[in-house]
Amino acid sequence: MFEAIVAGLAALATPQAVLFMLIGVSYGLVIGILPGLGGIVALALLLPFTYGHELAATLALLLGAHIATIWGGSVTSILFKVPGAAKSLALVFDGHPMTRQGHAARALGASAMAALLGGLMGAVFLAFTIPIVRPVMLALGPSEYLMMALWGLTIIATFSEGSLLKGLVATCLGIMVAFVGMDPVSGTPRFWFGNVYLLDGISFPVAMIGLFAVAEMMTLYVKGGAMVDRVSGEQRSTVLDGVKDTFRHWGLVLRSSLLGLWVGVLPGVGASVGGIAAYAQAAQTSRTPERFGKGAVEGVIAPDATLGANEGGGLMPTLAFGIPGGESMAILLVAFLAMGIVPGPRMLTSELDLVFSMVWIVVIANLLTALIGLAISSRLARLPALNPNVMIPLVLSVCLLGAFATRGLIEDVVVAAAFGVIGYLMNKYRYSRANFVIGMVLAEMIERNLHISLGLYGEFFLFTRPITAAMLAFIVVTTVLPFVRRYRRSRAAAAGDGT
Amino acid sequence: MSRRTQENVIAGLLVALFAVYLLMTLNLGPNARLVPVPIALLGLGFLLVQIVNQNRSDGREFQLDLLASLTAGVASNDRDGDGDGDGEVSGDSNPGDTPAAFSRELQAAGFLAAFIGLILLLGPIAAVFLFTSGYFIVTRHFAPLKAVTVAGLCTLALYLLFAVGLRLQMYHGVLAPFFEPG
Repeated sequence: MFEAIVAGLAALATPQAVLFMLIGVSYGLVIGILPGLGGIVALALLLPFTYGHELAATLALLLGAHIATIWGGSVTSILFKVPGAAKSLALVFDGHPMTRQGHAARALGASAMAALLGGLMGAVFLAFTIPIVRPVMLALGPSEYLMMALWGLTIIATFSEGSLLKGLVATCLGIMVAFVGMDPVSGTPRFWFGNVYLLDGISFPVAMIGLFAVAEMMTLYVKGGAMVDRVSGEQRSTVLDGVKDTFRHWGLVLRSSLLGLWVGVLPGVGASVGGIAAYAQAAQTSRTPERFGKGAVEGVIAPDATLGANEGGGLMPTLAFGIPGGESMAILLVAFLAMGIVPGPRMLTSELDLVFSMVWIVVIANLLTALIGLAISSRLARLPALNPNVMIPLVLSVCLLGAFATRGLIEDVVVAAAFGVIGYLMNKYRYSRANFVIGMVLAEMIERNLHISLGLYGEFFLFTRPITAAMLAFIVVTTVLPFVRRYRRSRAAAAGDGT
Repeated sequence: MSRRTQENVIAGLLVALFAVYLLMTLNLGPNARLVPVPIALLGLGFLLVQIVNQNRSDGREFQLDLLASLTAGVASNDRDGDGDGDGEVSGDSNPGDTPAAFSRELQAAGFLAAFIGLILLLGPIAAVFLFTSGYFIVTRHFAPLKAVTVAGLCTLALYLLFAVGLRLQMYHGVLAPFFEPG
């Protein structure tokens, strides 16, 4: 194994590999910062360039770009409340409030460092745990994935600022929007109004660009003044403070990284769920949860550590079993096959040096991203203080072009604008946009796994699958608990008033 | 229009949306409507309760927060307290509750509609140039010449990034045939 570790690193010591790594990371950062263009787009655009080069160099280009997009997406979430991709959504909750309070540099520093530490843990995990995780992975079936998606829906209570009912309505709306287009199971066209464009469904990045970016620019225009109410460039903390915060919360980094690994290993769950779950667990385990949603640095550290670690976790099933852990991994799998890399048990034996090359790439790309990120964070932190008269047309231009770029369809621009108006109204009337997005993310996973579970295990699969039943019990308990405690609190308060 | 009336109008529109959605699912096969029907019913149910709630005389909304529960209420009290608790993020001040703000909302929607119209007519790149320069001039942020220069540079940067760098096949707008030679 030691020889494979050394051989994996040596393969990356060529000028071409080093150059490709630098290009990949820089390109990934730019793409990640552009709203709507996440890792999937970055990888898809790189696919034509993967032929005729050294294998390790090509892997460095692809994986380097992919890893850098993750932090790029976090940047826009923190600075502009615009998630660069679905997986960066959770960064909005506390990252942007930090920016508004003049702690953007600190948030970016914490974000970069947490992503680095998470990424390193992911790489180590990738290297050593394939034999351990395999049986666990294979034990979970579609009914368990269904339960995980349902659990994802129940945690929305965390994000239901104000009215829970409005939050639930927003979730239902998100799920309904996700059902526009072809039914993934039967192929039945649904809610398409005879429009071919709608047959493909509403693009997730396009909806997010509208809901968050366009809506935010409308709010900025209506409100007037800069996005960040402070003197331009004035920062109340530094990037180094964010780095220190990350090390101060090492336990949280560890927990979040493990969560990211687990989510990455599970095929089809996706980093979006991981980021949200990381935020929820950070809030639940914090001693001062009241700060969450108002600019708690832990709310930045947890999702970023999870997203960083998720890549190592996602690579594991992709390489070992040919099962992609998510959409980006599916594109990577296509690239692997095009390069002659055939995932499977052979990767763990005769191709072990290649696996370790990837481990090293994950490590180096994370280091490079963090270094570049920390270096540019203080400059990036000044962007939200730009005059809105400059910011609004520029951000709108980038967002609408980004919407167009996701699929090259002009209709997507119109849809992004429509979602912008919807997002503005949701924000105004306090129908949680986060819940809407979570519903949209989880809808397909719920529907697909429900159908497969019914087909495989019958109508009573909840009772015939012990793991599913246990997970359902967990969901019921965690959902009912808040109601019970609220009831008890109100009773205690009433008793207090009576005395 | 009072805030409560606005809320009721929005809720009413949503009820109509859920009802139409539910009706549309009736045309689908049993597999295709397996999940949409309960979701629409749930949404409708939540919305009706919300409407009743928001029209109660005390105007109190049903609030529940997992964080609050886990922390025995500390979080809830604090989070409700200030507007910047962007847990989702919806907690910003409520723009648009005054006539002046309503006028600005209409302006914002107008700007957006104008931008979309330009994109459909001329394609994204030309639209970006016209919109940004127009916006700079209308808001008097830059003098006309500077506005055009800054807009031109921004448009060039976006063109290089999207059309050249990302090799995006650009849309040229419905007016493109009129500008083509011959």
